[in-house]
Amino acid sequence: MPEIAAETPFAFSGLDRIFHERARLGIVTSLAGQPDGLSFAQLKQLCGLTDGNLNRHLTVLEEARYVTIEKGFDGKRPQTRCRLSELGRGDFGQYLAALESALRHATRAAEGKQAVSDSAPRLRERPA
Amino acid sequence: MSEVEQAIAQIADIRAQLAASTRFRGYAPEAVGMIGLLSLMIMLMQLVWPARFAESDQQYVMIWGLLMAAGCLLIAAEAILRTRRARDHMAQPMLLSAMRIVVPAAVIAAAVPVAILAYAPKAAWIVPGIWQMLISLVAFASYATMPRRIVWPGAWFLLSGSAGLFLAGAQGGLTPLVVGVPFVAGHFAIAWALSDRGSDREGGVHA
Repeated sequence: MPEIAAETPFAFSGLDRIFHERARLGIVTSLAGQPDGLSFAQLKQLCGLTDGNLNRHLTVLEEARYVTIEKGFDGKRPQTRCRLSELGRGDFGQYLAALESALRHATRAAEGKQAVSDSAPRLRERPA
Repeated sequence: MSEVEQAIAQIADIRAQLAASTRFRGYAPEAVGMIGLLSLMIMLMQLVWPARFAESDQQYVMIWGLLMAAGCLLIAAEAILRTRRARDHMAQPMLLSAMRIVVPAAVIAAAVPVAILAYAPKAAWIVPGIWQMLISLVAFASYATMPRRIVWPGAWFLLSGSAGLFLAGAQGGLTPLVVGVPFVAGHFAIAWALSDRGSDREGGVHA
């Protein structure tokens, strides 16, 4: 795998499609710093999603085994609690590393382009 | 700072949060259990040959201090080796996150007895109790990244450290049991807590 990655630096195979979606990225980022997870209501508020949308994205994450969902009670009120699983934590760590790498590539590429455009007038000024 | 640099900084923040709340598997229960066995051996030696190994409070501090230092080195070496072997993107930030909790406590655990032995050797009897309470603080501070049952050894070290201070104060000095029993039982309890491998790897719904 590292050899393939070295040959294809712009394949960005580490950018897992499950995480690479705005709402799911919000959900997973909210859960990342919470070892005891968050309730459905807290997630809904943090991510600004409707019940239906949050449910749909949680199902995708749960099917990928990235999130565990526990149904219990907070006093007498039923409560759904969502946690990032250990598998989800590991793969999200890899996703973040891939995302950071992609951004660094983009920065270097932009700097390279800038350097070329900065040197272009001087090149044009050269006598033929 | 450009937008891309801001994004990279935000990613670093999220990784730090992830590392600070993810179970750290660098601590080996076997290494901690080994320190428990060494603690048992030292306690027995001090019980059997008090004139040689338990002559004064300062000697207790020297002997148990050496054991604590050796234990810290063993656990740290094992944690670094395990992290290198893991080849995981999260392993390095998690090791740093664990070090942020352990290193300040280790520095305090080393500095306090040195200062006491140098300037107030008669107060050496308080050192083992302070060490035990520091271990307790580390256990509670690491709760987010440790198995849930780490609270039991944490509570044990807090209680035994406090009780040890009162007992040593009342008796006018340290005894092999007052120092040894908390360390022996506490280290075995930590090894037991660390041996919990967790069950959430597969994910799924727990109703």
